[in-house]
Amino acid sequence: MLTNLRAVKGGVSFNALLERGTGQIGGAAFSADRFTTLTYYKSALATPLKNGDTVTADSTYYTAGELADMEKTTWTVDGVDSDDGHLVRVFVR
Amino acid sequence: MNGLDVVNAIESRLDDIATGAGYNTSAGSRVYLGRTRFDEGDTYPLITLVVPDTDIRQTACAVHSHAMTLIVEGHFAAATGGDVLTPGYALLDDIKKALSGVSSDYSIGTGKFAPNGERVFPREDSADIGVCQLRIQATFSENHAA
Repeated sequence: MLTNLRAVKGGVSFNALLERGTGQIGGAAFSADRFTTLTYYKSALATPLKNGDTVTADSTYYTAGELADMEKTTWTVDGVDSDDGHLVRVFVR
Repeated sequence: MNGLDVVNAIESRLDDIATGAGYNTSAGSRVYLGRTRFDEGDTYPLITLVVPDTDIRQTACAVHSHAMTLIVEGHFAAATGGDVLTPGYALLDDIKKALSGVSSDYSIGTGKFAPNGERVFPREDSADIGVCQLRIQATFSENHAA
């Protein structure tokens, strides 16, 4: 499932794409495991997101009601999935 | 003795894994045979027994010697902070303790088996589930004339 997100990191507001999906974890057998990724333009942030960074929904962009309707409004980066120099996709929890 | 006897014996020992019996986990209540797909509704930790291969050699007219490779794989909830080693080795300890038998002789009827490798898989980014594996080889003879 894809969702547009207006996010904030370190006081900088930027557009991102939040995606929820399911992956497979295992060796000889596999378990379904949910994951969430956040994709953004690398140029949007002076410093790319890294493990442990916190991203929040932009409270100056969303109304209080919209924030209340969100399942989560804060995410913690948990690994970089891809970085092609233009678009960066990170796992978030 | 045959492959089914080995599988049943191993399952029976794994079933004993329970915190009330001195183990680290209660994975013994979720032991699966040959199941390789688990869904979001499944409860962890769980153990699945997979048999990828068996070598068979004829040692007499009706007697076949078997070397059966088995993988005992544990899936568990990854701990906060991404540490998969602590819960992974705790589950591996349970599996080895259960399989070693009362006399730690790894015997199954007239056959026997021995662990020949173990592994806790590195945590995948963002994964909530960890994986550990014990590889064992069971050796036994199957007499078709019996």
